Amino acid sequence: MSDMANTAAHPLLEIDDLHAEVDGKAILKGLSLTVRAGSVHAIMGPNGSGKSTLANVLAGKPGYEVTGGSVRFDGQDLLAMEPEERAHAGLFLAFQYPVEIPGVSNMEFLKTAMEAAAKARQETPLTTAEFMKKLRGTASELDLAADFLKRGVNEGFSGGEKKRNEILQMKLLAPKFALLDETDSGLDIDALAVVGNGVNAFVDEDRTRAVLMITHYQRLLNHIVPDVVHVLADGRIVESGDKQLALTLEERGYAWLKRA
Amino acid sequence: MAEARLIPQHTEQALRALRDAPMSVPAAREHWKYSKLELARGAITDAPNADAVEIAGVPGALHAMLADSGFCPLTCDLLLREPRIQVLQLTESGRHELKVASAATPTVIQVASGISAEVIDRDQGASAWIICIIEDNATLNYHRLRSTQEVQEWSKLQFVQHRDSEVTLTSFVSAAAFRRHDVSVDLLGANAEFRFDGAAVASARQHIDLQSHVRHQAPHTRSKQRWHTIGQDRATLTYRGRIYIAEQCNGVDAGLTNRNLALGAGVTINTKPELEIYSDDVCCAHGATVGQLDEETLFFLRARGIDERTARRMLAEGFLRETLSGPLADEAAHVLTGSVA
Ligand SMILES: Nc1ncnc2c1ncn2[C@@H]1O[C@H](COP(=O)(O)OP(=O)(O)OP(=O)(O)O)[C@@H](O)[C@H]1O
Ligand SMILES: [Mg+2]
Repeated sequence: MSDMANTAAHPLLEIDDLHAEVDGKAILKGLSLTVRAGSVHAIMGPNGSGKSTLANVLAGKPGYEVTGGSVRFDGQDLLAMEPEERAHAGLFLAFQYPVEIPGVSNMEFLKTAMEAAAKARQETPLTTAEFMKKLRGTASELDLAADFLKRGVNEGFSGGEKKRNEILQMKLLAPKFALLDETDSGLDIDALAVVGNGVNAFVDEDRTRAVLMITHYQRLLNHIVPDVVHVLADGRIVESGDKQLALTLEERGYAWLKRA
Repeated sequence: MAEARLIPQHTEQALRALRDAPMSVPAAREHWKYSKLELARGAITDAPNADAVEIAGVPGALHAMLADSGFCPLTCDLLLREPRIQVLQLTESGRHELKVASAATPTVIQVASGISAEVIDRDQGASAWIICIIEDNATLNYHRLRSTQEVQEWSKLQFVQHRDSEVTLTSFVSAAAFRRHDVSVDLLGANAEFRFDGAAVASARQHIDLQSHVRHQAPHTRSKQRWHTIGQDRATLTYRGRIYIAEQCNGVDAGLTNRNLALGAGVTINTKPELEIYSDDVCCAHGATVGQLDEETLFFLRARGIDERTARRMLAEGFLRETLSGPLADEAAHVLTGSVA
C-alpha cells in the first residue's frame, strides 16, 4: 500500500500525547501515534521502554493510570471504555505472556469469547456445529492439534504454542485492530512463517483492519512487511521510518537514537 | 452382589460409639476446633431408619479382620458388644449405590481381595458412618456427592487398606448449615494407594469442615489428596489434613494440596496441613493457599470480550473443575457451579 493511500485511509487508532503511570511511576511520557486502516506498524525499543505498558493501557488493564493525553479508537474515546467494551469495539491484544487457566478448556473459553463477540455485533452466534467446524479449520491452519482445544487454556502449552493460541483467538474473533506484543518471541522458524502468514492474511482479507506489532527482532519483519517502524524509548516514540529502520536498528542498536 | 445386613441395638449406644471412636465428636478438647459442637450434636442424633433390615450377629470373620488390622479397637469392641451395623460384602466387581440409614448405624463395606468395586454415595439425608475395608489387591472407587443444603451432617468415612489395594475417593460437596466430613485412611499393607479429589462451595452462613487423616503404616504406600473450596458471603470453610508416616515406612509418597478461594470479605477460611513423620526415606509434599481470583487472568478474559461477571464465574468454575473427575463429575459440576454467584 502506497503512502498516499495510507494517509488518506481512516485513522483507526489515534494516540495523542499519552502519559501513563504504574504504582506512581511514570512510564509513558507523551506518546503519540496514528495507525490507519489497512496498515501494519511495528514498534521496537529497548527492554523496559514501555512497549507492553502501551499495550496494556490500550487494552484497559487495571492498575495503569492514564495521567494525560487521549486515545481514539475507530472514532470513540478508548480510554473511557471497559476492557470488554474495547474488545467489542474491535481491539485485540495478543499478550506477551499469555496466562494459563487450568480447569477452563480452551474450547469452552473460545466459544464464550465468540458468543460475546457475536452478541456485541448483534449477530446470531454460531451453532455448536458451526463453531466446531470453524475452530477445527482455524486451528489446523495454525498447526494446533485438536488436543490443544480440549486442554485448559494455555495449560502446559509451550511458549510457542501459547503464542499460536493467541493468533487462533485473533483469527476467530476477527477484530478490527490487532496489537501483537512480542508474538514472535519463542516461535520456531516454521511457526514464525505460520504466524506471519496469519497476520498478513488478517490485513489483506479486509483493508479496514490494521496491525500494531511489538517486536525485538528484524526477522519477523521478513514475514510481515510493516508500513511504518517506530522506536519507543523511555515512554515516547523517538523515531519512525520505513522497514529500513528495522535493519538499521539490527545493525546499530538503540544507542545512537537516545536523546540527551 | 451386595449383601446388606443390619443388627439392631440401642441407638444411644451406637451414637456413643460414633462419639467415642478415634475420629468422633470430641468432648471439648479438640485440637483444631472450628466446628461448633452444639451444631454437631444436631447432626448426629438422627433417628435410625425404621425400614432397616434386621439380622443378628456380627460375622466372626469381620471381627477377626477388624482386630487383625489393628483397626480402631474401640469400635471393634463396640461392634461386638453393641452390634448394630450394616455390612456390605462386595465380592464381585461392579457398581453399588449406597443407602445409609443414619450415623447411628455404621456401614461396613468390605471389598474382597482382587476385585474392583465402585460405590456411589449420593445425599443420604442424614449423617453417615462408613467404614471401608479394602483387602489385598482390591480396588475401591468411592464417589460422594452432597447437594442438599437443608441438612446438618457430620459424616465419617474410614478406609482400611491392605497390601496393593487402591482407593480413589471423590467428594463434591455443596455446604449446608452445618457439614463436617471426617475422612480417615489407614494404609496398612505395602504398596497401598489412596487418592482423593474433592471440592466444596459454601455460601451465606454455611459451614463446611473437612478433616482428613491419612496414616501410612507400611512401606511404599502412597497418598495424594486435593481439596478445592470456594467460600462466598459469610461462609466458614475449615480444613485440617493430617499425614502420619510411621517408623520403618520407607518409600512412602504422600501429597496434599488444599486451595481455597475467598469470594467476599466476610468469608472465613481455616486451613491446616499437619505432618508427623517417623521414617527418613519418604517423600511428603503439602501446600495450602487462600486467595482471590487472579486479576491477571480476569483481565485476560475481559480483554477477549467476556464480561466481568461471566469471567469471574468461568474462573471460579474452572477452579472447581480442576478436581472434578469420576462418574459424578458432571452432576457435581452442575451442583457446585450452580451455587457460585
Ligand atoms: N507494576 C509495576 N510497578 C512498577 N514498575 C512497573 C510495573 N509494571 C511495569 N513497570 C515498569 O515499567 C517499565 C516498562 O515496562 P514494559 O513492560 O512496558 O516494558 P517493555 O518495553 O514491554 O519491555 P520488554 O521489551 O522487556 O518486554 C519497566 O521499567 C517496568 O519495570
Ligand atoms: Mg514487553
